[in-house]
Amino acid sequence: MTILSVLRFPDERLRTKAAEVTEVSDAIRKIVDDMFETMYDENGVGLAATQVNIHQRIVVIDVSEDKEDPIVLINPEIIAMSEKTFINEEGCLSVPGNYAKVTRHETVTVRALDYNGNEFTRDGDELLSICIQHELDHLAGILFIDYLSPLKRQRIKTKLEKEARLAKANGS
Amino acid sequence: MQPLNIIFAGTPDFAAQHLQALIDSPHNVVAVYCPPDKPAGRGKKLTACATKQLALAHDLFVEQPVNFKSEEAQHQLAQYNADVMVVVAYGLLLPKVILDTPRLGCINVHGSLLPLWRGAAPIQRSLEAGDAETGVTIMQMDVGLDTGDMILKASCPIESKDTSASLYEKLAALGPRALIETLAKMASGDYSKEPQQDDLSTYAAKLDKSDATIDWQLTAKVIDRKIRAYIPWPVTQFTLTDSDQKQHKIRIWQASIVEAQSAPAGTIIQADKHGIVVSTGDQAIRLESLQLPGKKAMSAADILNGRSDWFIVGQQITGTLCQPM
Repeated sequence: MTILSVLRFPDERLRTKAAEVTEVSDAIRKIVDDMFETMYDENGVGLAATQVNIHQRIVVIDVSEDKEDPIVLINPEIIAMSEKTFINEEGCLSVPGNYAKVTRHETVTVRALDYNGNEFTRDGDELLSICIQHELDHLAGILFIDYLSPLKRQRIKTKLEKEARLAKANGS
Repeated sequence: MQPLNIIFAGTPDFAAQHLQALIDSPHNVVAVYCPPDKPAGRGKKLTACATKQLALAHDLFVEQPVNFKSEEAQHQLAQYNADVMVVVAYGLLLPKVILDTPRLGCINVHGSLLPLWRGAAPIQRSLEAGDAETGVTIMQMDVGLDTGDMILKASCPIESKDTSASLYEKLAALGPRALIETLAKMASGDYSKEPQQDDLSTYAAKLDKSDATIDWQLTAKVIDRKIRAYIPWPVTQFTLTDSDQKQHKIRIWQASIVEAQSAPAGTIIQADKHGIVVSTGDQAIRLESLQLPGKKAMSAADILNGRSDWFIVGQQITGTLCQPM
């Protein structure tokens, strides 16, 4: 398996809308495997294909404590969500080191294809619910910082651009 | 004393220790009720609870109904013709028809001095709240949540170093003795029941993993009690961001309160072989035993040997656990 490179905000490619997967082939499964490898390596709980510059509707998630509950969502679609919302702190592998409170639906039901191309539905609450909403946003080119005020978003953008400049200057 | 015919209902080790006392007593355990086996561990293998394992080891009848809603389950229980049903940390609600089935009804061993801490996590909530003592109450069960009349109480002090794990052990020693004493009284018909004063009651909400995150703004005393109350589960935790901006969830297994200079809450103010000292809303907490992700709990000194770069004096640690997505 391969550890993929994660795009960092403000990379414009993060704004690309992902295309439907037409067939869950071995090539798609290889992408899923690599995405899991990348997500675990980055210590994340979810990863959308958009974040690794693959613009297809693929998401991997594992919010379990012991990293033993991998969830594959291919062509995911939220088919139900609670009216009730809650506010939680979120972070994003594409916006490293930045965390902010975002309002999300408390529970969602997602319909998707699994690793073998079989359709299934899954309910999510707590962190899983947040993660599903966060990752599906990625597939639509939306980042969690889009929910913040323009001022906060700009501050994060400036900070990350500065970090990228410094890293480049240091040759890393 | 005429020995009683007893149905026992319970689940974890705490319950099994009470069952052992009944097995060792002159009374007859006619059946043991426990929940259906559950998948456990990484292999998700079906595993019997502690109560069932003990019951099978003593060749007792084991019943594992999903609930008592069906007439079949109710009929089955009635067939045992028990004098009394003893319920300890069973995990299932009993409808009135079941409560009324044994001749002397159902009694429960509850891990608090009722009417304090009715509900799911009495031992932990009592410790977390800073109570000076805790104990067990043997109660005649009614349809309410831990609202039945009290037959016997036994108390023990909560020491400054107690954790929920150590209190469980204390109550697991206290409870069986109180239970046997109660049954002796019931067998001879010489016992009284004292109603609970509802207006003095408090509720012990079930613990949740999300409760385990430390808010460093709280006082050192409150944080210390929370750390001790959440051992062995869910174990309090905080989040540390390393120099690569990676977040790590760190669990706290042992800590103590220390006097410290003033610093913003959540600041590491000392990190050496004696421990990692973090400022709180008033004093400071010395973290003495910690667990890094995927590792076993270790002393702070051992952790600093390998990971001193994670614990820099002056660094802020947050309470929130937020893994990126």
